[in-house]
Amino acid sequence: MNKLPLLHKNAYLTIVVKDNAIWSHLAYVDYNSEVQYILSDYTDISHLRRRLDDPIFFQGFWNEYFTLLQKTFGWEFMETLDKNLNRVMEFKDENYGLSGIKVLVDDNQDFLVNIFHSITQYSHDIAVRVMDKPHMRKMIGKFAEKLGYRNLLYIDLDIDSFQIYRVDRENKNKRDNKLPIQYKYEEISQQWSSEIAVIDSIKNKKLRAFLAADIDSQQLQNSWANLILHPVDVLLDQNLLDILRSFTTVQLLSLFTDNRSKLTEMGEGNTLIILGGKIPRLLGKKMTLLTVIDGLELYGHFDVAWDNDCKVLAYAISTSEGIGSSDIVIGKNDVLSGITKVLIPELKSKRAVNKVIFSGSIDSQDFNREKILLLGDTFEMVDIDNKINKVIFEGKFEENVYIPSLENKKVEFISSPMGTKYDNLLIDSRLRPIIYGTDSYKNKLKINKWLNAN
Amino acid sequence: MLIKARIFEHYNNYTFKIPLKGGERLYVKNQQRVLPGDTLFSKSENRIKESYFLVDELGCKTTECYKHISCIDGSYVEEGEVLAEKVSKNGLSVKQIVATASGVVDLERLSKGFLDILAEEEESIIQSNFSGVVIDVLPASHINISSPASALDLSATTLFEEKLFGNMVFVNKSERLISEIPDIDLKGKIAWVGAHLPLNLALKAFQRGAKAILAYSMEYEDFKNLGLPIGIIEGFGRIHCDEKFLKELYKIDEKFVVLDGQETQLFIAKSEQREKVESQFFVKELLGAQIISRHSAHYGYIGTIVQINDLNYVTVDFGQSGKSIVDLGSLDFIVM
Repeated sequence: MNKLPLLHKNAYLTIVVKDNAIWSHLAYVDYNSEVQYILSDYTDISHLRRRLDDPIFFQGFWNEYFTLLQKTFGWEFMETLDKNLNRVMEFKDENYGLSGIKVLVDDNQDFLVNIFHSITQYSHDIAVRVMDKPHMRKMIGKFAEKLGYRNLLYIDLDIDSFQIYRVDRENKNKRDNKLPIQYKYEEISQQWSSEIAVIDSIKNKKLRAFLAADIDSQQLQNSWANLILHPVDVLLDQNLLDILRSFTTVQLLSLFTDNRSKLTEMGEGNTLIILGGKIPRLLGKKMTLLTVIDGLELYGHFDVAWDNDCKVLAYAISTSEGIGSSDIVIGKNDVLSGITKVLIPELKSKRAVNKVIFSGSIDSQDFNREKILLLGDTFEMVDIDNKINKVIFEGKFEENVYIPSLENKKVEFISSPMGTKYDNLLIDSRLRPIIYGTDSYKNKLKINKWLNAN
Repeated sequence: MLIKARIFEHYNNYTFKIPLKGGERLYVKNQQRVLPGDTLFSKSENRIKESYFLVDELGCKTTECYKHISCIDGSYVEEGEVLAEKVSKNGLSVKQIVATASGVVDLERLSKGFLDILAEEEESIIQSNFSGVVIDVLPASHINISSPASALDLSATTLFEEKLFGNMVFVNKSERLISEIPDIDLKGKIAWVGAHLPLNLALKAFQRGAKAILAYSMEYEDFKNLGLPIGIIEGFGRIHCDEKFLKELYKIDEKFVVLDGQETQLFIAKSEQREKVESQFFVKELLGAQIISRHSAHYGYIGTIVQINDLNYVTVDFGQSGKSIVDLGSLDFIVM
């Protein structure tokens, strides 16, 4: 394959089709002028889910989609020649042409084959690939190398499918440009066969133990069923948010119980967890972290990145391959949004509750030094305000907590807008073991305290 | 970009399958043009004279109904004979179902909880009320017909691979719930008894011989437990069914429909396609776009966007229900 000269201008379109949604990311780079950006678009196709096998979908959908996408991005890249032959226009400059289009279709996507055929029928210039286990292994293996983490987990949380992909790079031998097969890969998956099966999964008796909303079984069933049948992008109903949080916690807990050996050593400081899928988008950062920490019983310290718009899925391999990439050379900061640093200490005793367990500061040339004091038995998220200059975070845990993965209990990191950008710091110092229940009212008090602590 | 959900998908030509069980006398052949009024096939059937829902009458599960039957399938019973019996509490309590009419016992629907008493055999003729071309005829299997058609997506159905066909009948077109089924013959029909489907009304419709019921909403628990053919258009719980939708739905009254469990859709065969066949998938203009709300404050209401506000919020006019500012993520764009 041709290698791209590093400094050439280039534009490439990668489309991810997953969970009845289409994510399009047009990446443009011009390293001579120090310009690089990604234009993004999201289209929910869940309304078409009954008709993706329909001739009507085959005939006109992609033609209309690409026509509109060009308008949305203000970028000409498709031309129709004779007999409805659609070609990708050769890349000339910014806003004109592309060096290629690649469509990645998730292997769990309904009517995968129909989508595959309809795209190739629309244009032979578009490369269509399936995001299956080998693809995901390649992605996490290479991305972990690029970012320098020993462990990398991609946790894909869609409502009808929970998937965890993990690479452990303890063994560093590898062959160039091939899947680093020597690394240890693990996959954990929980999928439901149909919408009705997902709806019925709410009948799990454990769910009640996690619920904070006081709703009767009938209302619970009906609301949940309607959410599954009519997916939304924004969830404002507090009861539904609570059901979704509880459902996610129960499912993760069940995955963790069944696969305990595959999910060890994640809190030792050299782990990146990338959270993707619909659930993190609906729950938001803090509630998602609460769910993932409790579901997977996480402790210690690790980093969390967010793939809310499937950019990691689209470009992680290109980013990792750098100048060896066959599509586009793109920086990691364009692919990864801000990282959340998570610290989960264990209180040595109940006496540390409501006592200072952590003191630190955030410093930057862009703002005055801010001091941070955190109390025991809280779940607090601190925002890191990244502007132009680097932000230095320094802090130390007190003697009343236990966090063996941190040397001298010190936390020091630099957030750099051009390097590794940290957006938040989460310190979960809740008293272990975390106890939910015994009724929804007690859960409500606890969850309110944890989520509204800032 | 935003997709428009087409409530009804209209096709100039759609091939749908009419399943055959065997024993039918066929009147059509391959490549034959079928017009409204033409006979497709006939079959000998016995009209249901009386029907008993054992789950309710005896208090047993549908899977256990066979244990309590005390008559033979196909036998003739006189009025007053015991048809089923359930003994409980060590014999202290006995529940019986006694025939209220004479006729032939039919246990075909026993797996769904029904015991039927049939009247004399009579020939039922299935006639076309649409126009199309017969694509394929395979006796005892199916007839494939291509005709103008419309499709309505269903949220859920209790059918799996099954396809049921029949003429659509609207028993209740008012917004109010009814407690009794009017004296209409529902045998072989796909019935609509109101937007919301209570369990007892569903049972009454099935006792009248309805082949399947179409409803806008019902309780999820009832849907799961009933075990009879149901198609749900919108969802579960009491959901507002907008009159704009009902106006469109009532157009399929008396039409030949196929409830397709495999596709989770209802197909409506027509004699001609009068509706505009929509070819566009995407919303080009927000202002004036028709939407259905998924926000809990006005779930199921159909409205029109009249103003675009900041931060993804729009003002929606819900007609008589007033205007509301809603997040775009809580709206589904629709075309009737």
